[in-house]
Amino acid sequence: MAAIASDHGHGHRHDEALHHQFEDIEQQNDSYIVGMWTFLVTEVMFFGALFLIYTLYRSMYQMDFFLAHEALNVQMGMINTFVLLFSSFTVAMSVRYAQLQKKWGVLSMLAITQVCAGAFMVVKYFEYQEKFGHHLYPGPGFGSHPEYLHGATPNFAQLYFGLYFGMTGLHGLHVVIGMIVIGYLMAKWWRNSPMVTKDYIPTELVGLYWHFVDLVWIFLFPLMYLMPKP
Amino acid sequence: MASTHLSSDSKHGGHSHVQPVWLLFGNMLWLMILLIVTWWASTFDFGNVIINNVVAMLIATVKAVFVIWIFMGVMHASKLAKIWVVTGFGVLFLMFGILGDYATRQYEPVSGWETNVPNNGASSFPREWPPQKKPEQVGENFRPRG
Repeated sequence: MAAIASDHGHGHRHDEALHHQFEDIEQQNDSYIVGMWTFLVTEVMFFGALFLIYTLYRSMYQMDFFLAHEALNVQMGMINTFVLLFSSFTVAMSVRYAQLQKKWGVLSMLAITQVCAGAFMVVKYFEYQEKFGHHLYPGPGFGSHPEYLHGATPNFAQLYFGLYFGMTGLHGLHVVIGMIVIGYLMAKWWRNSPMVTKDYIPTELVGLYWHFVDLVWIFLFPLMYLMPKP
Repeated sequence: MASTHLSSDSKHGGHSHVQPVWLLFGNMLWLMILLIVTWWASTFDFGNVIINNVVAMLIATVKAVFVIWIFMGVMHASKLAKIWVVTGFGVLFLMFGILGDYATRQYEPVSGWETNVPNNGASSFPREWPPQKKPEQVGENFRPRG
């Protein structure tokens, strides 16, 4: 066994980031990336089930969903989509800088990403605040100001806003978790931790997560904000 | 320079594809153009509501593919990672087949499953399609209660 174990490194370039259980760095990186995608696939199914519920109820109550969606602010949704797409670019750039082992490139790109994520949450806060002010949150007080329902049947509008708050709320939670993880990653880079400086994979995996958050919003935006008139 | 010291031995160029800046920046520009196209398409009537919805979802899918393929680096990922990604979204696509159940419930001839039989032990999900709207009280569940 010892002979086999010692043969493992034979013929391969020495790499500080390589853990003993992997043949080489390619296999190690691939394991990390497939592992991260396994998590992302569970997230796809998690959000996918919510999109399924949304599709079912919107097909049943098309006109009510359309009328209720008119309460949303398309400009704010557009701004948030731009912000998230741009932050996806800065994260992709930070992964590039991590591969090139440029500390300040990584830190500056992740800092811009954090600003974008913060801006996204601020816009979302103002959107939620407006909806709460108009009594458009699901519950006993829903629709007590019928002028904000735009003529939709209250119960079906309530279904729409239940899905709106549920799906954008869970997406917002993912943004907040992303901000925490990116903050942790930035601290590691700031302290020159070998975990991130010798191996680009931690930055890559956080990047994959952030792109997934962007991916969910790419579908949420047209489905929630830009409904065609039935 | 600390960076030259770091990159002396374990330079990662050999085993991870470094994406060029023009590709990442170009991808972002494409995504933003497609975002404007998404908004434009939502204001335009392509004929009927089904086509309008299909167009909106097609544009969103194209944007998603750009993000997955380039930003998430699946373009340069291993075959194992690629097949896993495709399987994940493929299973999501299959899951939407569940909608076929709801769409065909109106055809059920099973005795005792008729519409207007409140709480007869079967699901209270409306059988008629599209569902008949009935005047509802604010704050109450629209499903019939026994």
